[in-house]
Amino acid sequence: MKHWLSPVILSVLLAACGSDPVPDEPFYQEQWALHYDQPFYEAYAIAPDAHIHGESTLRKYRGKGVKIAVIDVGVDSQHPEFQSNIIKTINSRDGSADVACIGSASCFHGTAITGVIASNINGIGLRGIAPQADIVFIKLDLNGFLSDNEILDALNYAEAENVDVINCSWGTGNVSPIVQRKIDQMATAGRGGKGTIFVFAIGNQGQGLTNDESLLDSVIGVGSSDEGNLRAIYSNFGLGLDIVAPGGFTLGITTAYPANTSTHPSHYMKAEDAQKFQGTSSSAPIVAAAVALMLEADPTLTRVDIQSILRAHADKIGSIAYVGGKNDYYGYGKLNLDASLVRIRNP
Amino acid sequence: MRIRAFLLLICFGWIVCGAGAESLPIHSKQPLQWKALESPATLGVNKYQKEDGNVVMIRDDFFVELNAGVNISDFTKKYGLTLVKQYNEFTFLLQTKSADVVAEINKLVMDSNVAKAYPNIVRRVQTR
Repeated sequence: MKHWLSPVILSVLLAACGSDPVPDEPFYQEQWALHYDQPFYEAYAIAPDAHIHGESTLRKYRGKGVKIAVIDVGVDSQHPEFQSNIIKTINSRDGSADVACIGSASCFHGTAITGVIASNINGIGLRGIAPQADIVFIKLDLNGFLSDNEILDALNYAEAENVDVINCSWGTGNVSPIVQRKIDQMATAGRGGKGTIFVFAIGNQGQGLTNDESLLDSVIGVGSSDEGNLRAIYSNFGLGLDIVAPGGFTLGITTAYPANTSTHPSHYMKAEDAQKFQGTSSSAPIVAAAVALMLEADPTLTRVDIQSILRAHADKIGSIAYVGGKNDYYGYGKLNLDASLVRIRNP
Repeated sequence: MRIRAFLLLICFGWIVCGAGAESLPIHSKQPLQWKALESPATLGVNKYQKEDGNVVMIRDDFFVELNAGVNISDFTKKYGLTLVKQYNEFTFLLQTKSADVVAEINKLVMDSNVAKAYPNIVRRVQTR
């Protein structure tokens, strides 16, 4: 009787609070980065606080009205999880709409990132963190060499689309001054003077960086935490790192995978798959989508406001001392989505 | 002999104190980011070099930022540059294969703040 009543009471309470229940997506229970699911957490010995505390926020916000640019290698834009929210695709090489990625081993990358951010609420797979955000996918030929002007072209396309947030799960480790100038300019003047929010992944070599896009003051630099609620051993570090978010180690981040492949016939990469989505590339879109929910809650927030809120409400995990609220390995700590949204709703 | 030694001493003193004192203030006026093009030799056709531990390739084109009041048409015509792309009001991607032209533009940067130039470097970019 008690077990039967609990979901009913919960639903009534949620309805009274004006919140929508998290929909019944088949893979939601294994999205360990977002929320605590007792059977899954116990089955994989995940530390109880390893998630971003997103349950309350995910019930209320979906990123509606926020435009996110994903700059990456290519995307399966026909994926069933993206049917309602990829509003535009741009190939930064020629301005065409062709963003397909064929042949490279890393072709899954852009699809996986878009899946974390924007997988639709449709009852067939997983829950994107910001499933109603508008996605502008900009293809940039990564995994090799790019000249500064090619990176600038991608940023200029994002600027022309007037996006609110830009996710970059890539980097150079050697920032061009002209690219830095462009990022600083957009982060200051974008969004009608409120500033475009850049989210960059810091990288996976487990080394300290001194010169990288993720370390710029005008950028939210993101590292990875693991299932033990500690910094993932591969996550790079350095002065300028802002925050960490789950990126996994033995587990991955459940997300979408390009269709028509033999390795993942279900169109998904699950947390426990042999080939899984791991690394700071998977942590960055968690933060980018979290920013979209924050902007949905209060579109007047500036880029500086967003950085301040994320920093102030991050969980101080790990055993390394936080001096002045931060350290080089965790930045200001691990993303706490619910706490950040509570601050926005109750300034 | 004494006169020759005296003249040598004067010359040596001028080189150490006078010339050095003249050149230092000019050099110190350059912001750090302008160092990117401090040597014309950094501009070559597909030239590889080490930078911050990364192997980079320098293309035979570069960015020029013009200060207000400088006409891009006049500028490209004067130096025989090809305009590849305009990024914003003052930033252009220009192309030349001439190291002499780059040296000339460097000189403009140093002498009159007319323009700043950056090589268009090919960097290693990786997904993460």
